[in-house]
Amino acid sequence: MKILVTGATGYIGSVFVRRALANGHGVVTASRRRSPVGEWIPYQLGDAIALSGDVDVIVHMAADTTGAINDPEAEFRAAVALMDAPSAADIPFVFVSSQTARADAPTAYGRSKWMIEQRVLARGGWVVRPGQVYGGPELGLFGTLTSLLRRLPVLPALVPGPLIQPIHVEDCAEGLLRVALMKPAGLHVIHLAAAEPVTFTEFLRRIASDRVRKRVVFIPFPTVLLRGAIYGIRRIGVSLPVLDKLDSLLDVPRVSSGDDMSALGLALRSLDDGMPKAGNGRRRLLEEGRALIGYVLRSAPSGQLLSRYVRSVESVRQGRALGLPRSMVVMPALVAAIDSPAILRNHEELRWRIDAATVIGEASPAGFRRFMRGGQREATPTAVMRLARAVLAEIAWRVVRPILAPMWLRRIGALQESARV
Amino acid sequence: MFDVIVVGSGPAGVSASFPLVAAGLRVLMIDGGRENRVEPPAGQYLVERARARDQSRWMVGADFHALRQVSAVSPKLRAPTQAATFVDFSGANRVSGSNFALMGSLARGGLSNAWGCGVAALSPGELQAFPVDEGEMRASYATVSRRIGMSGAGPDDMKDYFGVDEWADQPVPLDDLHDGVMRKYSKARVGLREMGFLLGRSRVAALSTPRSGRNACDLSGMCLWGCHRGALYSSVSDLATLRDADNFTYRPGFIVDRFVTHDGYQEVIGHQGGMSEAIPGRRTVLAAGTLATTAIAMRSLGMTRPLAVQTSPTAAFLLWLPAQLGAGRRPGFGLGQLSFSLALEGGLSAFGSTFSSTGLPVAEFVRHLPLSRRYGADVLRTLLSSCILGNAFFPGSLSDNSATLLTDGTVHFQGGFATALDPALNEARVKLGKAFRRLGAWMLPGSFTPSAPGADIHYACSLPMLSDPGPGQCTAAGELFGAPGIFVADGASLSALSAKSHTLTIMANADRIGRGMAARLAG
Ligand SMILES: Cc1cc2nc3c(=O)[nH]c(=O)nc-3n(C[C@H](O)[C@H](O)[C@H](O)COP(=O)(O)OP(=O)(O)OC[C@H]3O[C@@H](n4cnc5c(N)ncnc54)[C@H](O)[C@@H]3O)c2cc1C
Repeated sequence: MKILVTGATGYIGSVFVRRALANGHGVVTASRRRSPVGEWIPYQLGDAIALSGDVDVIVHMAADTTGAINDPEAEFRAAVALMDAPSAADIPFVFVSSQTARADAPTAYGRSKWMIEQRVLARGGWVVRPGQVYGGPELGLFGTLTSLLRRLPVLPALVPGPLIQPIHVEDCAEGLLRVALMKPAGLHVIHLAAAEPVTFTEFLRRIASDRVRKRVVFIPFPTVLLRGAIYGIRRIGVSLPVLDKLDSLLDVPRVSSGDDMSALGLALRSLDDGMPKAGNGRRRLLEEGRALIGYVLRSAPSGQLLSRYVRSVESVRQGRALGLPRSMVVMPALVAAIDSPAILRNHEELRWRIDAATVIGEASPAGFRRFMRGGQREATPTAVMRLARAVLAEIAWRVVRPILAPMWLRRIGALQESARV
Repeated sequence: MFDVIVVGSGPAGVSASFPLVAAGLRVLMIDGGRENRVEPPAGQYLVERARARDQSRWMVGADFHALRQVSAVSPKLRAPTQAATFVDFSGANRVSGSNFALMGSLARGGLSNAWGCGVAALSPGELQAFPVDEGEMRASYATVSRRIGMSGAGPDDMKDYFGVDEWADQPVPLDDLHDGVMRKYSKARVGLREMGFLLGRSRVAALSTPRSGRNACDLSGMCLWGCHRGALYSSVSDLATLRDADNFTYRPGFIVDRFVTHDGYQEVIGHQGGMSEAIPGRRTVLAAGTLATTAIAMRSLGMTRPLAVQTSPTAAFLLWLPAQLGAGRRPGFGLGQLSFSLALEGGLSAFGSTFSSTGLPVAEFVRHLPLSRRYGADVLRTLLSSCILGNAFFPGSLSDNSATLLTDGTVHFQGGFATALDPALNEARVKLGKAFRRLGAWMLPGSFTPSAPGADIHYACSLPMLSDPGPGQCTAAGELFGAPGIFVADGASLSALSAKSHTLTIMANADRIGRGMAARLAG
């Protein structure tokens, strides 16, 4: 499939283009500057466009946020010019909008998105409204927040906290790609966002701890005051795109995105998985290895075993952490709460990981001691006592497991889906 | 033009080749050419396990082979040292299966790189199903047995069952657990014999005395992973011998897809490195392993009628020796130490062997316990050193598999069992439980596990030799009906499959077929 992309150098755009190419699609980027990948046609927001005949779908995400002043009117005109270009008339059109798009949105930004949406829907196109996009390259609002957190030791924690529905930029790009491919009939406004919201402060906290990796102090700050400040700045005549974005953030309605996700067959990664930088993603896997190998081996695994575990998951299972609860990382014995033959029968990925922890843990001098007593004799009374102890422990777990397992499994179950993607 | 093209360098291919080469004929041997790259360590299993920090290299594999194969039917398929033995077989041979464990090899030496070395000769009674002269067959058994080397001979109750003691050396020493079982057997044997249970040393193609460049077993316990001493027979060593002959040519890496017969010669059609090629020969021996040979034959002759394929249904079980609870691990032989035969209702019989668990990863067992992993490992840590493993094979008549040629040239194997298998399995489980109980070994409840069709890897009888063959069958000389000049020398042409280890019979039969061809071609 050949996809024409506007805004290909932006935050979502750049990730989208890479992903589309990696999936074997043709990409034509339309932008002012020549794009480093794919085909390119020169295009300036607002211009009409002349397309060659073989474009299968247009994905429009260009919004002029480069200038100091953004002009919703101009954005609307640009979108319409693109849609109505004679050469684009019959080509399916996907518009990347915003969750704030509403006829009566408090910001011009939200209102202009809404106006464009109406035009897109009228021509039978698709509107995609991403939630709070994060992860990957530090661009867009995510980039702004990240660099803010890098610089400031103290940040306001808004009360009451606005709720946001995050989505990792890769998942967002994948969702967008699926919309472009599937062109789902009967589903023309699509929300790409986590079904469960988190508070904006929690989101910032995660960026601080997992991405920027530093301690940031959050001081409660009334949301009203922030609104006031934004209003004040506007009043003195300053208009910054980032203000608009902040403003609309305070106004994001909660959307029910779950059905849209399943219509697209999309499973989102958790903030836990998505927030760390690529290299840091390993941290979760290392912790998982520590929990699982520690559980099987009954001793803290060596760094060598841990890195083997991580590499095995990365090379055989696409490398996402299951998201075991922290308590299991701290106390590997707790893994027994989710490990029984009956549970593993229904949780294929968990089973694979426990098998991997067993096989990798065993193939070491420590594993030899653990599994084969290092080949040593054992006095009969000791042997009997050990067997009895193992059986008693097994029985004890069978009693408490029904209480503990469901809660933990629900979390892992959801994550397992995405671990397989 | 070559006089004979031999497809396959496994036990069958080399056995057919020796008489052909000896007769001065120009022989070309081709095979899939895969070679194992991960070397097993040269030391003792217990020492390596205790010390080596890099044991993961051969136990798990740098590419995590053991984890990629986590659901494969046998630990051998998980051993990184054996990866090349099994790799790519079904794709290259265009075979597929349902409810059927489909295994085969594109390796130099074929499956004999990984086999369990169990050997046995068929009795005159068993040979009656074969349209062959018993004396000729016996001579061929002698030839191949002497060539490959075997051990386990002794005046025990299994001597006649195996029928190879003439050519076998004294056994490799038993470990303590098996020694205890064998001692008890010598006291309880009368009663057990009445039950139809016989026990004795396993006869195996493993050396207890060195011979021609191969070392004797030193009880390293590395059998599963590969014997760096060459104590276990693999046809790779025979291939090396054959290659010394001037009239023998070896061409690895040529994948045969089918053959075409012409007047007085045949062409073997296949490909190497993406290039198709037809190799002409005056005679062709198919020895690509039963499944591959069956597929090649069906495809070449366009056999649209499904063929029956036999396998030996099999089960595995775990025996616990309470008196040995807490025993330490000792160096020992990793393949069959003791073997039994068991008479069953309806004139059937089962055959099996028992093994030490020492050279196997404990992960192989803990996965199957009905316990959570940590406590399962606790239990096995204490229990396994006093356990031995057993397997049991049943005659091929209890299998019900078929091979079907699909329109795209794929050959599809559908697995299944005869209805008589279930009662036989039950009977065997109960009787073996009783018999071993008397020998101080308790069959652990729930441990008796039947395997999927084909998991025994004793594939046979798809193109059986009959005295009056029709389509899909072979003559007594091994020549495929409707394909003059094409001889089937592997398990495919066996006329019947008993519960016994069948590879020695494949080899003897291949030797016999090779001799017959040599006599006619040279004479
Ligand atoms: C784990 C295991 C344990 C076993 N234990 C025992 C045992 O204890 N006792 C026993 O009797 N048997 C045992 N067997 C079975 C035994 O290994 C086989 O019966 C025996 O190897 C068959 O020999 P073969 O020469 O017919 O075929 P193979 O050994 O399979 O050799 C086939 C040859 O053909 C070549 N080839 C395959 N396809 C093609 C093609 N399309 N073109 C060109 N060349 C091709 C291969 O490269 C190879 O050289 C065991 C097998 C396994 C896997």
